Amino acid sequence: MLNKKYLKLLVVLTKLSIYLFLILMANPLLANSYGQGLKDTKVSINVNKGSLVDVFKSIEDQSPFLFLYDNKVDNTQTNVSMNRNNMSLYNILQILSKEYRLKFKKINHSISVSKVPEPIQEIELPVVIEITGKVIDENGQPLPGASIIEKGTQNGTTTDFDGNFAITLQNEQALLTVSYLGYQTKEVSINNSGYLEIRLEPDAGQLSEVVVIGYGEVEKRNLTGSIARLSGESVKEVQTASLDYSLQGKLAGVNVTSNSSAPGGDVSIRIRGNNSILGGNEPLYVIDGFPIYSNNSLYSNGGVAQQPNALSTLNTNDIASIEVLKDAASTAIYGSRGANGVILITTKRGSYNSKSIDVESYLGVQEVAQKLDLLNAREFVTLSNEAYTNDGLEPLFEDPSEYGNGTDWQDEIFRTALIQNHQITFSGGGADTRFSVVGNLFQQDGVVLNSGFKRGSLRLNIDSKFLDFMDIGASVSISSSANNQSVTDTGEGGLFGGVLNYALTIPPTIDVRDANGNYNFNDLPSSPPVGNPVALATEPLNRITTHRILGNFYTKIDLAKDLSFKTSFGTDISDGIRDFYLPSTTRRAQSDNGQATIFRSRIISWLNENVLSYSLKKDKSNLDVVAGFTVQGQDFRQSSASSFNFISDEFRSFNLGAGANPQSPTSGRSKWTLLSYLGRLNYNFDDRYLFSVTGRADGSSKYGDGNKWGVFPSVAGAWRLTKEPFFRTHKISELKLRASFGVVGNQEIGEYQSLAALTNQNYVIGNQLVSGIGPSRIANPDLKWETTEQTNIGLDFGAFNDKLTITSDYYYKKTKDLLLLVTVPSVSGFSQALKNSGSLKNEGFEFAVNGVLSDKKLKISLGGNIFFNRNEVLSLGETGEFPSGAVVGSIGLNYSGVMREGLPIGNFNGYVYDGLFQSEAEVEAHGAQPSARPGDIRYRDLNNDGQINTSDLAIIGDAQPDFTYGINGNIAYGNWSMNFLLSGVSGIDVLNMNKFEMESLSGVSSQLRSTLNRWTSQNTNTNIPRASAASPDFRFSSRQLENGSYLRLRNITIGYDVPMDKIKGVKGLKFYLTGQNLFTITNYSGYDPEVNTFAGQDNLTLGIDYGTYPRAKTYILGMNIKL
Amino acid sequence: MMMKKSIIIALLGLVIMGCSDFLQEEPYDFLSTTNFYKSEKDALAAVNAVYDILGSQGSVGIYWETHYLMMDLTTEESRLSTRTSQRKVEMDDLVWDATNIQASRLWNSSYIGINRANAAIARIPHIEMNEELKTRLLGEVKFIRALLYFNLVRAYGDVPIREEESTDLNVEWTREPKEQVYELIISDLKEAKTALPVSYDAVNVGRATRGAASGLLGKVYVTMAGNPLNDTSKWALAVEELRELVNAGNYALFEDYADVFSDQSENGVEHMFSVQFKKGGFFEGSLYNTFWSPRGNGGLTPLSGLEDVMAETEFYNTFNDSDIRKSVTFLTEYTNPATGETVSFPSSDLTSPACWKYFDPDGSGWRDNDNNWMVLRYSDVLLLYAEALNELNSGPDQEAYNAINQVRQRAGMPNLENMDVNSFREAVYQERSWELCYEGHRWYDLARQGRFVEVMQESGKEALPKHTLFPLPLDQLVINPVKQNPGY
Repeated sequence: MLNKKYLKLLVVLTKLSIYLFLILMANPLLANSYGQGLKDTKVSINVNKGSLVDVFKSIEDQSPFLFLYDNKVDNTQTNVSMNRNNMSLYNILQILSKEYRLKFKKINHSISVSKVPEPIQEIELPVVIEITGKVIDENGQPLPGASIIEKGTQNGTTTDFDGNFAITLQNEQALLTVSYLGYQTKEVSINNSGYLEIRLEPDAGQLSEVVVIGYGEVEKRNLTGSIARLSGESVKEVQTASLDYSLQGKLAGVNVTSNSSAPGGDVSIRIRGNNSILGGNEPLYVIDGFPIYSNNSLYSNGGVAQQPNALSTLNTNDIASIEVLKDAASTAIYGSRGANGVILITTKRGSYNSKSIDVESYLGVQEVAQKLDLLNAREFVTLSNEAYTNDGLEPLFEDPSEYGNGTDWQDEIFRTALIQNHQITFSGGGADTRFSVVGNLFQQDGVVLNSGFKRGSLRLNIDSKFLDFMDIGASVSISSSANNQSVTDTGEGGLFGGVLNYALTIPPTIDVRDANGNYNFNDLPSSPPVGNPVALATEPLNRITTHRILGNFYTKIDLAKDLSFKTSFGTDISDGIRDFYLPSTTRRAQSDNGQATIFRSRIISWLNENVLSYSLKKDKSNLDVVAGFTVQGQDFRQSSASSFNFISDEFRSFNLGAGANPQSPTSGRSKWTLLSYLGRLNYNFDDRYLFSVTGRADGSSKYGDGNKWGVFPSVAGAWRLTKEPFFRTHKISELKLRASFGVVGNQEIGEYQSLAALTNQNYVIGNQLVSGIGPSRIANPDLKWETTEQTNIGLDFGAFNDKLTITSDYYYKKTKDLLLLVTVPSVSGFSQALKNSGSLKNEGFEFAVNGVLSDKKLKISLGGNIFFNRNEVLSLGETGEFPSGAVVGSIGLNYSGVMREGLPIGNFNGYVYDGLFQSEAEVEAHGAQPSARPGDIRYRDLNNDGQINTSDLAIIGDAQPDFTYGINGNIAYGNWSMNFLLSGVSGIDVLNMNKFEMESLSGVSSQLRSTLNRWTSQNTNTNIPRASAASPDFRFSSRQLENGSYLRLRNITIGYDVPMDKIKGVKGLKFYLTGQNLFTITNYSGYDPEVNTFAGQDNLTLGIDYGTYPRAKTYILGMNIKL
Repeated sequence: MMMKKSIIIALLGLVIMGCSDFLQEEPYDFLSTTNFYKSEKDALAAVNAVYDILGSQGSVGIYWETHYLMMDLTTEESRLSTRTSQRKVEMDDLVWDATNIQASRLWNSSYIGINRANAAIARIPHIEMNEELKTRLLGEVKFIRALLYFNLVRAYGDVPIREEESTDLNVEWTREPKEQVYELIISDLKEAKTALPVSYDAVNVGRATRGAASGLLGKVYVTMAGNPLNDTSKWALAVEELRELVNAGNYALFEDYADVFSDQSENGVEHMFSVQFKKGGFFEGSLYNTFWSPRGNGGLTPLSGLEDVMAETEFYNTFNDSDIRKSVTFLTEYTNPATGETVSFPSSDLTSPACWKYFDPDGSGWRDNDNNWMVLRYSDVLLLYAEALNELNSGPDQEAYNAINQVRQRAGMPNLENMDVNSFREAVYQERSWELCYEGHRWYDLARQGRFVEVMQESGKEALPKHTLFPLPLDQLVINPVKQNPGY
């Protein structure tokens, strides 16, 4: 096995090096295509038996260049003959260099000539091109220490004390990037220019970034709303299958939880808390202008395991920036879809007049971050026999001493897995057109056998100034992904539990296979009827293959000065197939002799947007107006077919006809449409007083007849105190107060909810299936969107030329008209109906600080963010209190929480664990658990009525964190760099449901090692109950609830930039080593506290760990090459 | 400039302008009330949906698992073997309260069925179709509606009466007196009896018949005569109804008791009304075969069992060894194919006998077997008839002996004779238990006989008077406060 693993690694590495070799080979062609100036200047030389000086003079006559030389050059050669017609000056200098051992150095418009001493055989660089200049500030004062870099290379220098610099260029037509902290970075063309004097304009540092805001962009300093930005570089720091997870720990107000750590698994993002109870809570994603609500369940294709992540079908590595719109003023432009925040994703585009190739590759290994400590076979048998003896039953096993360690089922299902990513980007452009082509291959094997995720994607972005008044462009991404799911995270126990649940339940006394090589199942009496975890992991086929095309085309026309019209047409087409085959070797399909299913879904979204933009600058007033009309729609179709009973397991799901027992097929279709008018007005006076009004009117097909249209307005204002004349402290570079208020909506309730519906209710008559059709949903024409009102007050602060920046925001959000499943009296024949009823709030505070501690040769910058959110249900309207959360029949859990006014969503409502009974006297004194025996669990009889029942349930925990935080840092010294990201969550509870079975002490399922310390009459000072086959009165209580606070080293990367004078033709080469999840500080006893087993099914079931795919530690070696 | 203008005009032309029906929803994969109830086919489908509530899989089906969990597991006849599900444990241990999911399922599902029936009753009369068929279909629906109300009134006492299709979300309800519920049941059954045929062609076998309506009506009268109404005037009506049914001679007992449960002989001469199940992955199969059989059942069925419910050993011991029913009802020995060892009761692998009435040797699917569930069969009618005669005449007459002895003879048991009213009553009670155990009758029987608490306590179960009614679901009372049953 081990050899196979390394062999695989070797194959991958070989492939990688061949691929890099080919690219390097192609490089000279690329290099030749560069060059003007010396190369462009064509001269004809006709010198016969003259001197070198004759040649130089001849060149000077025909070009702008002047030669500088001394006597040594002048006198050495007297017998020079050269006859060349219309040859590039560069080549002529090369010839001269070779023949007469000369070295040329071009400095600005001068070419200095020197003689090379005899002993040196080869002249490395016959022609050196150097340019000199000076960098000054807005007042003409020199800027010492400014950085000058030849664009697209690692070649650079800094100015001296007087602001002077000299730089030797690799390409004489290069662009110089000149930067100085606190000043706007400037690009300077040195096209045949001489001495350069470069004047930098002061800049409010980071605040001058341009921020995408939805149907437009604005300079960061002129923002009035609350928007956080993440650069593409920062996104890439964490290597992950999908972009949402790369936001974790980086932005205040954004809480990211991976629900399952399976490759390509489900991730929940909550921006400023949970806004909705039954509606969607995920933000709206807008990818290059195309709005997408990432409804994972649509992409899951009738899943049997964890939900796949719809965003994992998109490449993470071609992102230029991510903007997260948090307050209502920012999201109101997305109206009825803005309530949960909006994430704008901009992908990389080329640059005009440039060319480059980027190759990025990494390769890594993952291993499960933590294993659970379980009893070995001998210890298990001892416990089991004790449990049976304690209950007066015949023990199930012989003498424990006959057993050894038994099977370590975790070792049987875990493996060391590979992760790799390879990307090549061609980007560039001419004067009118720019483009970017990105090809990417990503593969992540999972740490559980037979799981993994693969994706190949191709992106083409193009923009063209097609006519002088018309731009056109397109963004197209094509991807193909295969998500090989191990059956985990099923949210059920027993037979329908997944691989992890099986592995944590099946006793260590059972061997993986019997003497005949067949899989063993768990057949102990009264035990959970789990199958063999190895069989369930390795034998089934459970793969979702998704092909997705996301494309958007635009054209923009300048109608008049400052007035433009942009129209765009886009589509998002996703086609998914789940192939599912459970062979007869798995317990679940044993009796059916194989179960095969094909599930297919197709989602087609389309979009047309038409936006007029107008901007006016007059004196100190700046006005920007945007008005638009958009239509969007989606058509979802799905179908599935199954067949049971196969002669051979070879067909898997690819030949349903071979199954002797075909099952009923299913299919479905739904559609929605959205029609919108939008507008925004931004006004600012002198960049000092900023004001904006935004509104959108949305008409949605999803709502009742009388409620199709809604209007979502917002206002915002900001005041930059630093622009006031009275503000004189130069140490404070920015001080801005912001305030906004707006109303936004949430339309994620699924389609057709307002219509009465009849469904198929089939029956059997005459021993044949007959179709029956009856009522299933009652009509509700009053149904409408949920509305969230949000107030935001913010402060932006910058000091020391923005070396220190602080952004803090306070917000208050109230969601009204909550869509709730109101319990209709069941005597109506309906149990529930969706109604707008109830309200909840989220109130919070965000704080982000970034500081540059050192910007000399040693560069250190640190950033941190922290985010507090308080979620509370204000009213449940007609619904009243209702039980919510996980229901898992196989372990007797009815509900894990309650939805109650005054409480947050995602609480835990259980019994209160009150230690163990130590004596019969204590049982008697307690009175409410008369059948208990010493060593049994005692629950608190809260209402003292002498019995433990549902009225003794109490709120014992909260699955929403008190605060979430992140710390990131970058340290660079010379060519070395290091960055890290710590992310943490505090004040959160996790329900460790695995413990229901793993601390049941009933002697028929695998147990945690903690059970060694179980109660016996000799060992009474413990919180582990006695062993008992009947597992007496085992309830959901504070026993299984644990503190889920953690601090994780999410990522650490050490990089080395290879100095580029070492390798010819390569502009940049970087190697890096990354470690992910290297450590997690937590008291949680399960695999990982960041877990959300049921989140895919239910917004309300938060923070539960049950048979969830465990987290991996990852070690990655990567390389980036720029050509 | 011309070019610019024409490009702008062309682009504006491309922009889709919204039209009024752009936001109208068009359903594709479901039917709405506006496009259904139009044809004879629709009428048939509407009625089939009413039947479906009886056999629907999962929590909804009235007879899928609800009846054996509420009417059998709660009694001394069976016990829960796999004690992992709280709702079942509470049933077995008689500790259920108003939050018990199982108890609320019967309530909720019954009213789902009643609403389907009410919708069919409201809509079918307006459909243009064969009038004869229309009458029959309405009769079928009324039969099922009566059956649903009969279960409700027995399980919960006073219950709300709904006779109209629900169209409004705002529903208020009160509990109506049992007498009024029974009035509706009787009128529905009488109507069904006149509307329904004596039998059906093969294609329609499984639908409600005249005999089913009549037999159920007889049972309704017997129940009304017992607890809690104790309306003894109903004994005469019961005798009259059941006598007509018995004398008509449309039904008889199978010669072999085992045939009652065999799926080869389903819908046979003894079966008066059965909930129809069919395997094959249509979600229309029954679960008894797998849920009731022991873990390694020796390949008696292709699928090893779940051992959900097992027989109580003491109940098993009440059977006479010569009683043919004993070996049909219980499984006490099998060969474990894994070990090759013969497992016999009693042993640690078979701590009590398995309930083995619904055994399908070909049953290979999880929750997907052919075995029907018998709601009413002829031996039940015979025993009801014997019981009613005994009560009406204050002692058994020959007719009463004939009825009960038919049942006993088939079981290989000696005839009864020379008994007084009390001993005959006891004998009928005992016979019902032996004959009809694990068929969803026991709790109903004990409740109407007023013996539930007594019999349970004798068997060592801690029963209270409140256990002769189930609680109304707590969540229902929260949104519509009405009086709960005593003790909950």
